[in-house]
Amino acid sequence: MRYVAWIVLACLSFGLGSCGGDDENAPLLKVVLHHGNNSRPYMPIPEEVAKQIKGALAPIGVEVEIKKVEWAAYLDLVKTGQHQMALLGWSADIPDPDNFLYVLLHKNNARPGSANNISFYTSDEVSERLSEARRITDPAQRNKLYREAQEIIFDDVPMVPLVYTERILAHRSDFGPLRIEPVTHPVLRRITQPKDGAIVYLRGHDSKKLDPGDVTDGESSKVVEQIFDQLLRFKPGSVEVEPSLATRWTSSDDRKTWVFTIREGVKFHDGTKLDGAAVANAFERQRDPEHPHHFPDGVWSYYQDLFGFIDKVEVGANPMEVVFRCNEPTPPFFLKMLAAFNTSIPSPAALTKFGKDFRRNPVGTGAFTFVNWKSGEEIKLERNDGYWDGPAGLKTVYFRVSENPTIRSTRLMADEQADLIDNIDPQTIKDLAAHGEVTLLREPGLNFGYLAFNTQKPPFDDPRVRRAIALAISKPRIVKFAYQGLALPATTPVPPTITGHHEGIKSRERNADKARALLKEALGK
Amino acid sequence: MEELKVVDTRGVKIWRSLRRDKGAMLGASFILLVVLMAACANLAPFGPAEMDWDVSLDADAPTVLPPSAKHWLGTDRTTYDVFSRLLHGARLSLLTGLAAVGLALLVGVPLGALSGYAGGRVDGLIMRCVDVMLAFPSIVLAIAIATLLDQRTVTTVIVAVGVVNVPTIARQVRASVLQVKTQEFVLAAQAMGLGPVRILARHVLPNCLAPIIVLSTLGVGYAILSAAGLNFLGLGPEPTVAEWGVMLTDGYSYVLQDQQWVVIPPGAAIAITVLGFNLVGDGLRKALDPRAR
Amino acid sequence: MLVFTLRRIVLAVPLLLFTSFLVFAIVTAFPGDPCGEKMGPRPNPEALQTCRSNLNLDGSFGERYGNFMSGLARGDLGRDIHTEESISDEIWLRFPATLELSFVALFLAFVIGSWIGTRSALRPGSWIDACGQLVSLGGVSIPVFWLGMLLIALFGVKLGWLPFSGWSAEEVGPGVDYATGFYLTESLARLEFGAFFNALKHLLLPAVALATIPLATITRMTRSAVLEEVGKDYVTTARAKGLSERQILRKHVRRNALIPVITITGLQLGTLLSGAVLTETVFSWPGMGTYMMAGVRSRSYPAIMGCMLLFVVIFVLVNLLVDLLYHWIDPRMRDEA
Repeated sequence: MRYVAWIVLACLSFGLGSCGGDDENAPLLKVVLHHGNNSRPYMPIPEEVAKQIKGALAPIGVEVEIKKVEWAAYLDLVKTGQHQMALLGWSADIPDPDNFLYVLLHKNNARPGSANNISFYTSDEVSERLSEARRITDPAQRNKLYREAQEIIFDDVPMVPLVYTERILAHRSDFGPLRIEPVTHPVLRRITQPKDGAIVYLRGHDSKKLDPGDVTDGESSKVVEQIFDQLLRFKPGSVEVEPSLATRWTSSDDRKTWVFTIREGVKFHDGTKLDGAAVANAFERQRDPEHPHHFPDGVWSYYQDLFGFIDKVEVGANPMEVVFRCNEPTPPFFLKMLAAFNTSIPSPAALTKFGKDFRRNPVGTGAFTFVNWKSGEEIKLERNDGYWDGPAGLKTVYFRVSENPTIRSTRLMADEQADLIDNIDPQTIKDLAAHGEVTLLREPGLNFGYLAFNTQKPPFDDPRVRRAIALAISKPRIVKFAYQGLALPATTPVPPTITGHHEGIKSRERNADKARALLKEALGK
Repeated sequence: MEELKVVDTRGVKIWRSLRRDKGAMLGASFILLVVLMAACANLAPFGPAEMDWDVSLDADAPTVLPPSAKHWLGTDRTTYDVFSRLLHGARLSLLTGLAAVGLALLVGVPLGALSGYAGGRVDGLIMRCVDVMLAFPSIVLAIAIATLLDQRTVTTVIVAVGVVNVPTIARQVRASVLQVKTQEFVLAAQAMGLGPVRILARHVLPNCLAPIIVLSTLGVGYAILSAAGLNFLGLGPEPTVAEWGVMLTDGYSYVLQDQQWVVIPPGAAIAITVLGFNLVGDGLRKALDPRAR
Repeated sequence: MLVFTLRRIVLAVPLLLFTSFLVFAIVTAFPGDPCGEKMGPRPNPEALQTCRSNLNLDGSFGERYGNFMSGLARGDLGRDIHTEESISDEIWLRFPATLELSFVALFLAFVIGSWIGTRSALRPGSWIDACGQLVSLGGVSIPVFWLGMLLIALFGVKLGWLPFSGWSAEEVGPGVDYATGFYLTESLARLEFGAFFNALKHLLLPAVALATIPLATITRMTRSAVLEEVGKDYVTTARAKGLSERQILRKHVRRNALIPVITITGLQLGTLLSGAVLTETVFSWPGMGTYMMAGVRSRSYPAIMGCMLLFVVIFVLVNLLVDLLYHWIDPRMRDEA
């Protein structure tokens, strides 16, 4: 009978214990924090960042409910403004402050449904400066405008920049030379050792599709960049561009018309000759919904977001010339945009031949030719011996998939079917660096992760509440625990790798008492 | 008064039989331990999702702290205290197990009783439904139901596990009702003109209690195990909730880093709880049904 | 006998029909708009329409069910929302991994369970009996995914004896050009013993973890079957004839007792296949369980539907087969029919 008594007693205390409320620690505010379910370069483990934020806000009286949402649904949710707080990040398409500030915080990008400005931040002071910096070309003046914008943004806190991440690659040391490029993925064409070798690029996920105009994810663009060329390309290790498929270019004085001369003697992998028509086709098919190569089930948002200022692209006076006609002066970084992977030039003949299946049968002018694709397992590329810039050193490239990052590192170190890996497990960095046959490459990245507030909805329509949250968050803790130390605390939305980053801005130091006081004041409690 | 006495002596008999059963007593002490853990959760040194703010942020300092005087079972990579979460987790696990079985009983007993007592078409219809549900491997059905509910909460898990257990209970109740319903006292009650609901509630079901009790006890353990599985798969509540299955979600990465202190306690706690209910359930079966011995 | 067999088969058909209807009904009721989510905020109406008709999202419930059933009859389970791969192709690609894992686990459970069961039946009440009961009860009480992690920690990480991931042609037998996904069976059939043992090594840890699910049932079943058999007259007669205990056990008792045990073991296959969902997740095993969970995460509803259907069909068929087998082996069952 003693047991029964014990059990009854225990059950009672169990019941009482769970009922006991503590009024002093009752939250001042309850909010929901949304995050996506997949790993991005700027935020490998969003869940851990969310947990750190929740833990940091609890002491100041903010109770956070974390909601993890499937990636596509998540983007829909934040772009339509259904969130209160959300975790996201940005990787530069173009190495210019505009690509961060205009895209993420200009009021033009705050239209619910298509917003990249998921803070729905509509400050006129900031928007005017950003628009002005788009119009002018003088670097010093642009820089000044961007610095002013960053100061206002810091004070207004539409978002809390959390971290700048590093880009990390590791490869077997017998392959080389290899470097981390600031904007693009590693350029495998430049590997010369071993001569005629085969390389296995082991990564976390398979590509989705290889039609350059229709690609939005890194795993796809990584492969696309090896198969295709663009009009211009980035110089090795630089954010500056040099001629590629275009050899010369001129612009009108109002920067509304550009003429590019196309390189002679370049052939696509299927033997088709490269000319102005092929180049115009690459742009027109993205712009024009009626174009026969504008496959209706494609995702063309990338072009729409970036190249909206282009009216038409057409063949010029001679067939090896192409003309860009724009409805406003092109932005100062227009040439850099023409080195982005989505401006790759595909073979028009192959587009016609394969139709929408081009996405699984890509044909370009690049240093490597597509051979075959086993879904979820392997993409095989062979060297293009007729490459216009001289054939590559490697003979074969395999892109293979191993989802677990720890296993990717293990396989690289054991030389088991892995010569090059990315998205590296932070816990294995030390081992990789110490390994005699592995080279570890680390460079500051062109991206940052942030916490966005929906500034159109209470409670975050009040800048004091946003400031209180920013005061409570400990970025060094986030770096340590959610990024395993492989990141830097962020201060502004423009990473230090970009000219225009405001180095005078320093993050707020965590101060829970001040944050709580500020919050109480804002809420009138 | 007469009736009460009969029940009493029967209860005492069962109790004595259980007391002699070493396995059942071991199981009972396991359950007691978990109940005590749940009861003491408020006394835990840390909250269920409370970070340790005193940890070093130096580059070389570990992010996952091994057991120490401050953190008896170490911390996980968010610096949550594993020991405190273990205690808080006991509450949720017990709650989930009991609520899921409660739900299954709430639906399963009336269904089974109706099926067994009414017979005919009603019986056929209900039993076909039961067959269809039993044709699903239980975890697959539970995953589907959790996806259907689309809310990552404790309630989702309770409902998913509860629904999956309904057919087993309904089938058992039906079998017992079929046995009891032909007995004389039921026939007598029918002859007296009592309504079917009254007969079922007063005369039939009380005599079917034994197998239901056994099945429910075993069911609690099973429900805790299934719930932990669903939570482990990420269909349960958010990762800050202190629940044993949730604590194991990232177990793989801790294991690869040789941080066993994060992984061993919650799993062992699940195992002990489930084993406890299984042992007691077995003991009850033996005590209630002499033939099973 | 024939009548019985036919009756069982005929009874299984409506069951399969009902279950497939339930699968369809559940998956159709899943929340969200997979096409809208895939297309993003500014969908092309034509593409949205293609996606919706690909996913069988248009029309009344009845029409959609009709489409679903006619697709099913052709073995067409639709296409994945994101990759646009055929679901049935994807499933068949992963099915061998799950099947081989389940069979090896079942074999392990049978060997261990029948041994423990026999020993405890021969000495009921002894320490080995008590241990056997505890082991089998412990087996069902331990979460498989946790056991899997412990196995990885000990044999994979600490001791480094066994691999704990990487079930792929390239890992298991480099150089062997597999025609099927049955790496274990095929390497044996091709007499590639190196690859065979390598495959076995890869299978061992997940199989041991998975084997704990049916272990308890098999142990108990063996124990009671052997107990019953030992009490029979012919055993006493054999003893009187001076046969040794070992001979009696080997020649008579085990042979007779194991028949029901084998059928019970078979019955566990369906449970095992789905128990693989948890085990596969821990060991990142490229089987149907991980495929189904990937479908849940990425909201690829046709993939979830395909996996559920296959699990159910196997479950029902195995039960039917075992039922028939049992009936065929044990004539006493025939009277009931």
